[in-house]
Amino acid sequence: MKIREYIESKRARFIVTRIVKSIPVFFLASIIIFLIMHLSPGDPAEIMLGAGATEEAIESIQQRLGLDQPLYRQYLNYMSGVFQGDWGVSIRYNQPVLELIRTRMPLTLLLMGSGLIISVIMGITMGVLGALNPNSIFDYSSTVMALFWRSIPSFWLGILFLYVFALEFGWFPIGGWQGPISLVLPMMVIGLRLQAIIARLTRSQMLDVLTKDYIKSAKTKGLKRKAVIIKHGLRNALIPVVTVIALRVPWLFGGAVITETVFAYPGMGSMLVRGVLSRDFPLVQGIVLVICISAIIANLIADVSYTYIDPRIDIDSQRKG
Amino acid sequence: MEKKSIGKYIDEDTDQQEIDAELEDLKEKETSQLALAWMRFKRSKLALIGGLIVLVLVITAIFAPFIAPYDPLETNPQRRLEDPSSEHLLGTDNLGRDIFSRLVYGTRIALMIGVLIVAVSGGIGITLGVLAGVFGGWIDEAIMRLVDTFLAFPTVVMALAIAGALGPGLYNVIIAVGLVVWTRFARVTRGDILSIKTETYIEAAEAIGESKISLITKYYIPNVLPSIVVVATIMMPTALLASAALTFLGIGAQAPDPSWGYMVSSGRDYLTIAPWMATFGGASITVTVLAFNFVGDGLRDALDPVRGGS
Amino acid sequence: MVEKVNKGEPILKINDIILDFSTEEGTVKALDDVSLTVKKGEIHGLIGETGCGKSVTSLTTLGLLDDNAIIRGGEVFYRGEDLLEMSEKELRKNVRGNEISMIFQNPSTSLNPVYTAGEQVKESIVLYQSDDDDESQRLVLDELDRVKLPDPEEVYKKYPHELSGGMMQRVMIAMMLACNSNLLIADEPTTALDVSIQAQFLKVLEELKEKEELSILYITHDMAVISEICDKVTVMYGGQIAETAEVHDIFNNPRHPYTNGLIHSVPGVKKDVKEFETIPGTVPRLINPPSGCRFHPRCEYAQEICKEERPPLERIGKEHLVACHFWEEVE
Repeated sequence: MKIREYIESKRARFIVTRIVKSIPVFFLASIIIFLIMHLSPGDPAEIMLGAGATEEAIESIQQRLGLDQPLYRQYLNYMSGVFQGDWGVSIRYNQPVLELIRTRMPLTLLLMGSGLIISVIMGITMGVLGALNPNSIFDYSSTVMALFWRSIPSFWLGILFLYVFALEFGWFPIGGWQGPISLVLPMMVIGLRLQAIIARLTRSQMLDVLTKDYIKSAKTKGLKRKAVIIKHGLRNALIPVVTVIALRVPWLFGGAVITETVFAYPGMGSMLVRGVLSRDFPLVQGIVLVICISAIIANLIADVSYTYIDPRIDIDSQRKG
Repeated sequence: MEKKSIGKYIDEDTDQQEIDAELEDLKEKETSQLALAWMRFKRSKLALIGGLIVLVLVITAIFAPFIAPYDPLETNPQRRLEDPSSEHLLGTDNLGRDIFSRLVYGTRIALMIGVLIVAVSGGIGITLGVLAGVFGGWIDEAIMRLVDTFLAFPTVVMALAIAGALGPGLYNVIIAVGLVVWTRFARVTRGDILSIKTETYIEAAEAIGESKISLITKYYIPNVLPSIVVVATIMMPTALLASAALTFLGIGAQAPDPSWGYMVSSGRDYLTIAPWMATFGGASITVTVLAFNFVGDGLRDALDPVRGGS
Repeated sequence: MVEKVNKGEPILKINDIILDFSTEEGTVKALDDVSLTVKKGEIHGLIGETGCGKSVTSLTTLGLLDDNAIIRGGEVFYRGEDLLEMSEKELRKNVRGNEISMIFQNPSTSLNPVYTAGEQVKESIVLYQSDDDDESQRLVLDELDRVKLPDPEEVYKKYPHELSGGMMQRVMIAMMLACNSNLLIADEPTTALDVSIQAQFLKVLEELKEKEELSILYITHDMAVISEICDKVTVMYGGQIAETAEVHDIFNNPRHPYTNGLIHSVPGVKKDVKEFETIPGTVPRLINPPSGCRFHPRCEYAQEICKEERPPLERIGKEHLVACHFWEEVE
């Protein structure tokens, strides 16, 4: 019992340390995002209002957004606003950015989540099957298929699905949110691509693990085949796979942005695109900031979960003990 | 009974011959490391197919004017949205332009975008990687923090934001994507440098008093080159897909440039009447990316065969 | 398993196994007509230098060879049935664990790194002794104690990487002994253990042999261990069997030049050896093994015939077999 307690507290300290380490990353990210938004050539106020804006309108926007102040001031104002819940107001929608994000983000998270679940189930299954029958026709064709899923542009795949399943067959709605059924096609687009990556990694990890001596030990004990493969093999093979999956979560945002646009899915991603196209800087800045925060949290969870699943990791140094 | 010994090892002279033969053997093995890698690469049929496709694409891009039957920008309002025919191999688009010709010229744009993105990200990444690896200390720390931060950004989202800020246009897309994906180059460069930094010949050179710059050009860069080539090949698919996505979303190459991404996005509205507009554009992207993925996988397996590739 | 075997009767009969491995560099001729018999209640030592095929022989018995192994001939009879003819499923259900268990050479890689020592021993207990949760836990501690692990309760909770080499080896031994098999194959089980622990382990094996008639195939390269606990010894060289005899015959009357060389190369084993000599040369690579008797390049008694004809394994005494054309002349 004593040992367990010690490790638990060690882990707690590690989590805290890790969170603390994320803070500078967060600020660095926010600075970078801020700089990006302000690096556009020309006057931001003019750009936001578009050509043909009156002098007065430009000046009023400048004052409202504090664009006449030095850059660092603007940044500090913005960040203090962020921590107080004021993320600015969207030029296009004329609503607080945070509110807009709050309304649309759940749908995006739903899309990402379901895409993730489906890709994990498919990917791990395909990977394991491939490893158990290496170089068979099944393995070879699924490897080629996986390469194909990695190469096809998500937006094109989405359009193809839209064309075949929604327009031609009429099984799914063409866009918008008509209930959970609207989730299926975009979820598949995201899922199929991620699944290919997971499958490939799982397969190579399984192949490697199955050559290990402890698998021989497990077989020698007379364990059932399923137990050897899953309990002994997969449990080890999945360690790096879980980490890769966790690190890929931010990538899902990119997939969401594209698929939401293709399917006119009312999430945060499609709103981001429209914000970019209409030069709605406050909105874009806010959404990108939220995405970066999510990415940082995802990385944190990945690091922490790694200490749970691999007992060899020495919590202090994060190296194999 | 006379005992004649026939044991090999008992004779002293035989021993020496054996040793000489083994030495010869070893020398041969060392020089053919690269040849071994090439052999392994050749073994992968997919990699060879990929290489072939890339070659075809490059040729298409270079000789586009000779291959395309029509001017890709020439509109023809009379012949809009025609089905593929003998006159127009892949049909015409919504402005009457020949789709096949546009695809052919689109190859130029695609390859150029890919190469430039790799160049931009490679330039930034290698420079930062060299600085981090060679100088170490707080420079290394700072750069690695930067890498960690950029790695947290999803590629498409960040590139979207940057391109959005810069404004539409082909070169803005290139800069945008390049500014996000440089991290892969940085990490690999730094890693390679760190791994040879402790080698004795580096220490010897430093002891003699060679300047850092000379060290970089003479030792570090040549050592890093093979990995760079591999990363560059692997980055092409990412670059192509990201730039195509951005173009599709509305940033990037604008009308009337025949970029494949743009063809897909403009073809979207005509899916029911003329699906081939969007179809062929997307297919071209897929084939190109697939080809580079084949080659990239083949390269990775050839240089690191332990990885359990098929 | 069908046949009931009594003490003193053969329980494992390996007959004329010919085994190749196909590799990128060529075919490795790992086993050339390997034959070996273990009797019930007997501790049978298998000795030879690294790479001579001892481990391969044991893996063949349990069907644990890598995929590139090709069995070109021979049988492995266990209690009357040919294990080589059995399907993987039959082997798993009827043979592995409950009939034959195996202790592997490298404990650090043979234990699963993500499960605790206790969990891994418990797996065996649950399969073969008791599946009641509390009882199996207790039995695990018993097994850990049997191999003389200090503080079994603490060891139970530890992961393999938290244990020393010697402790890991004992955990693996406990894990396999817990299967209560009839035949135990032990592949270099004490390399990481210090002498006193090794002595205790050997005592445990002897107890098992006496009380439960456990048959043991003990693979090692340590002559001292052989002299201590083995009843019978088989000597292997380069994938071939050189000699098989009862332990005192091996030491006092070796009839194969290689065995002879081995005995004389270990100080203190034979009391009247004043200096120890090493056998000149090195172990052959089995991709292109020497023809005929594979020891001929290093043998001081070798003649032309040794290069051309492989000597058959002949019986020269009640329990003594040797494969050498000139066994009579060895001194």
